[in-house]
Amino acid sequence: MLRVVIRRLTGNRWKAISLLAGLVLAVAIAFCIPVYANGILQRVFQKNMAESQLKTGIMPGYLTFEYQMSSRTKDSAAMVSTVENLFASKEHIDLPVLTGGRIYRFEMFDRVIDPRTKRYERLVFNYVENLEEHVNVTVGRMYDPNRDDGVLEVVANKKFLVRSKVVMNEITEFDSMFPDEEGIKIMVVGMVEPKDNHDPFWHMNLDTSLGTIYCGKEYFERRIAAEPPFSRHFTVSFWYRAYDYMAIDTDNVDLLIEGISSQRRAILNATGTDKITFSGESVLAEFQTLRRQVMVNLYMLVVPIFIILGYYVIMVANLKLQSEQSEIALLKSRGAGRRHIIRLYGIESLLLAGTALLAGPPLGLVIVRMIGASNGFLTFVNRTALPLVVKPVAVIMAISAALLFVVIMMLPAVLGIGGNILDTKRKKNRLKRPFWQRYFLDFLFLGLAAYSFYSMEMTRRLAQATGLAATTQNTDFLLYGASTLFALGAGMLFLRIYPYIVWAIFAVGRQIWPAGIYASLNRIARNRDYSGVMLFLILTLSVGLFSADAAHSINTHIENNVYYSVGADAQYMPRWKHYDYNGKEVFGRLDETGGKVIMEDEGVVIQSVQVRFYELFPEALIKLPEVESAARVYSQSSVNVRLGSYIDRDNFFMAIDPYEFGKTISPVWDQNAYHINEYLNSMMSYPEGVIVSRGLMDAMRLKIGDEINIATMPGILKGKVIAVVDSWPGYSSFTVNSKGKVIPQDLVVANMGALFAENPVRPYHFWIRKADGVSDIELYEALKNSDFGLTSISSAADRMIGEKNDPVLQGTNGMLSVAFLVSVAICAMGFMIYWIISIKSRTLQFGISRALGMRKGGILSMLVAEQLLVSGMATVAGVFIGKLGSLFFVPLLALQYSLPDQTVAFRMLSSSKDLLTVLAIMVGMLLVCFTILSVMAIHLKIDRAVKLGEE
Amino acid sequence: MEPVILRTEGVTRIFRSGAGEVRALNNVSISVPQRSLTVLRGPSGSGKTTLLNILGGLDLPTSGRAFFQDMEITALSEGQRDRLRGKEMGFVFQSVALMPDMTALENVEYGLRIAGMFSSNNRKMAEKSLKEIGLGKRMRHAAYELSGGEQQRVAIVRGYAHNPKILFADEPTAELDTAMGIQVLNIFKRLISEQGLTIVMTTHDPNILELADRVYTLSDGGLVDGND
Ligand SMILES: Nc1ncnc2c1ncn2[C@@H]1O[C@H](COP(=O)(O)OP(=O)(O)O)[C@@H](O)[C@H]1O
Ligand SMILES: [Mg+2]
Repeated sequence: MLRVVIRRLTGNRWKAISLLAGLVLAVAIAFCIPVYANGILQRVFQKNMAESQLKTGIMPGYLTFEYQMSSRTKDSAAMVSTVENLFASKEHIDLPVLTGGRIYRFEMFDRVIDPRTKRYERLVFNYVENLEEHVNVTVGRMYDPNRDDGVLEVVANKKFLVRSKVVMNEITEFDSMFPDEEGIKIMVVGMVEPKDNHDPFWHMNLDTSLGTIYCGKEYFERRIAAEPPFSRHFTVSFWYRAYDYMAIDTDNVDLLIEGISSQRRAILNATGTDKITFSGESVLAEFQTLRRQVMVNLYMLVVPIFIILGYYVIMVANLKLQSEQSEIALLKSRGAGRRHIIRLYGIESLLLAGTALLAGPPLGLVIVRMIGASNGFLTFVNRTALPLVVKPVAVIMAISAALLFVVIMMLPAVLGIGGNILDTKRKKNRLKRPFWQRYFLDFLFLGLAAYSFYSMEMTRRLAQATGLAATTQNTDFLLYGASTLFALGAGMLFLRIYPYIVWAIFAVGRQIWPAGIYASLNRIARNRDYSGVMLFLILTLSVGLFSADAAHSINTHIENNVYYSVGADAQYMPRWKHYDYNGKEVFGRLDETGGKVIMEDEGVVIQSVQVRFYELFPEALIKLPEVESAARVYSQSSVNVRLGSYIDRDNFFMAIDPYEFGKTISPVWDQNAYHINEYLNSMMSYPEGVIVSRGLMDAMRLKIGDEINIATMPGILKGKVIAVVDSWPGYSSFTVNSKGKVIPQDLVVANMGALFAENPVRPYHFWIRKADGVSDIELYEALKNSDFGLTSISSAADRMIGEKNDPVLQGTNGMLSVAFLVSVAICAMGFMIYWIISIKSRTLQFGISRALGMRKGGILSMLVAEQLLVSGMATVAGVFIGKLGSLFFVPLLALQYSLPDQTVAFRMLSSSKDLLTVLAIMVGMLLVCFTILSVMAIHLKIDRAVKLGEE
Repeated sequence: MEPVILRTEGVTRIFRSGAGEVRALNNVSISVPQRSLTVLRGPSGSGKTTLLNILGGLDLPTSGRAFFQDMEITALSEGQRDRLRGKEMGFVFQSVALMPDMTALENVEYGLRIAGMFSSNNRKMAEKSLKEIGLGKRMRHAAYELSGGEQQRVAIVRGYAHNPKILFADEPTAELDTAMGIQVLNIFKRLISEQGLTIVMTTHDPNILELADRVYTLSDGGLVDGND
């Protein structure tokens, strides 16, 4: 049997190879998703962990527990050992331990240092196991635990020595806070400082505002055993344990998160408190969310690709089956039952699937590389390659895909054999409508697509109104699934109508059509064989175009968003110098009002001084060769705007120099009624004029010409409303307030001159446009070394890199590129196969026509007409439906991009480049097909062609 | 006797295929008088179809010449042969060769269109001819819905609908029952007498020989003596 199957496969080589190509692609894509997801997630995870350390200064994997003793704690010693055991247990968190320990803190002594004000100072002892390992003694020496003259030797940090009146190497007496207990004599014998600031030990902030002193083990143990109960003095205990975070990877994240919370529960049960932290826990939780997003996103993006591949495989399997009918009839006549034949096809399919399983994964790895390198739609960059780890799930996915396609491949055979396809009367089936027409699948699909569209559109409107990001999980699926269903449904509907259109054309010119065109029109109007390949073309083209449009819109949106929210190449904050009112420079930290400088030492406010600033002007910056132009921009959020008695809060205020502003901002795609320069021009003509956002206009019922009061930090500014805008560089219509809630914010833009004419100068940013070819680093260095100095800079290019490295975006771009390439490739392949296989039936018809006296030109016109009516129309319909799908569904991608940091509205944008690519490929294929068929027609041996009918 | 409309001079056709060659026709010279029913007969594989194809300009002989009236068919260009065929000749192939998606009537019309003779008048003639041949009810059915015999009859009507001078018919009655076969021959006879058509056909059927004006017998690509 196997021999029979192999012989049949090699006999039907081209069709078998075509089928195999479809299967290999399916297996490769199914295989590549888990591998890619694993790689990208691993990379992102490590990056996020490292970033969390940079941001917080604390190494991830650092577990702490803080226990506050109280009088309710009956047995402190027992409690200590319980917690000790819980911490030592590997039951909850099973990671290698780098280091760990405990710190006990107790306070029981104080003394009056100023009898007049009764100011007193308190001693806070810390006992740290193995203190020597963590500190260096910088002055003096370590305490001597064996001193026996009743004086306790301790060491202290610098802060204690600065803050306290206690003098080093002098005996100081403290009283007990409890009247029934004795006081203590202490002597600070040394000053210590951390040996290594990176030592996880120091992550625990042991320092109190009073500074810290450390006592030895002997004293601590004496205290713990003392009466009355120790808990009276023993205020806080800390446990810490540093786990090796390098051992945390994408595989044990879930286990770890579970472990942390069970650890927390266990501690809560034992101690009644759950002050337990695990550094990086939020990174872990975020990672879980991210992983879900990445996975859902990838699987949803793969749906259209699989639909295309499935359709392709069914189409080719069906063509293959049709070409094998005489063979099957022969088998049947020799007594083979339906089952036998299906088994034959089954083995054949399994054989192909097995081959695909071998060839698919290597191709899958290539695709992973490609997606990993994607930086935009069909753009790839040289990134560090993703780690390629093949986990079992990838193999399972590949096998599942192979099995799914075995089933798909078998469909035509199972449905066809024994049915009427093989009957001699099968010809009659030709007029029968395709099954999807009979079951009204077109309406079903369009209905489903419409319903999904409707529900997503509602969500989108809601999200737009509230600024809340929709839960993207479901929308992803609906989006890519629904757009594909739409393409299928619309394609089917088109094909339901199309024969009537052709029929109408046919009928209108029945009298005048030349014979060749007459034959084509007639054939296409009557013969539904074409609907299969037409639907295929429509589907692949529209999915390809939709993918291109979606990717293009997403990428442009992200770019626009970055350019719009940064507003220029960079936003730069100079190092503002503050001067007191005598013109003397003051150093220190600026307070919230921006008008005072606070001077402090070791965290203690020493002085707070009213300061002023001298204006900085862009001229100095423009002199730098790195800077093309610069503009001053003062901005402030949560500004109140008043009109009469009505006050509107939470507005974003911006003061600009319109001329410089216009020269400096990024040329962004604008969403206002007029070009931004027109607004800037009118600001220049009306120095007291302000521009407001539409939201503010509506909320305050403002009219052009109204005078509003704007309460800015420098002072109240009066402005006349001169224009209204929907968007503005650097302005986002949503913001997150201090409570972390997303709230809408409106905009007021005023002239900087007007703001600082009446009010004191406050620090502002410079927006900068870089000179050509200048890198961020060069700009950074130049600004840092300039007279202005540099406090901070945020650059659009830098933000862009961050955005482009987002794994969800990368996956989306990669998968959309794959979808586009696969759809184009599969489209080309399916197209060729269809026409080449259908050559046989064409040969007979050409032969007849030629025998009846048709000249070669007539045959060519027949071919042209047929290609135009079938492939050409399918291309037109595919492009049209694809574009229509984009028009409906691409704007819904806004659901994924409606977060508060999105400054521009999501729009559908298409690149004519992609459309041209598609059209060029289609035209190319049409030409190739046309050439093949024409060559065939020209070399046709009429007598032989006619003989074909004898079979 | 009528003048000769069609003749061959020592036609030989050799098919070369992979292993060796097949001498399908060997030095065949025949002549077909105008307004005659000329029959080629002979066993299967004797070269009847090949000869018919050469006479109709569908195929070229390896050597020898074929003439239509005074025109040497074998010297014409392919385009000229196409035109000649479309205008002056009609064909009924051994394999029933209809355009599968066209109706019976459209198939006939298609022949007319190719011959450049489509007009409503001719269309009516075509309908009449189809009715005559017993297809009145079936003529708006697609070709593939018709039985073998019905298809054969459509092919015959298509063969002469454009008023050619010659009709080539390769075993036109093979798929028909006797009664229908006789009716077809009656039509042929009528076409000859009324329209001055010349018919060259091949057949196995001995009954037909009686109606023939001239019979050539082929065997192994050669003419068997005793013709005429
Ligand atoms: N295109 C061809 N290639 C090779 N051999 C052919 C071809 N056409 C016909 N023959 C051979 O030429 C011989 C005559 O065929 P044909 O004219 O069809 O015979 P008939 O019509 O009398 O049955 C046969 O042996 C046939 O196999
Ligand atoms: Mg023959």
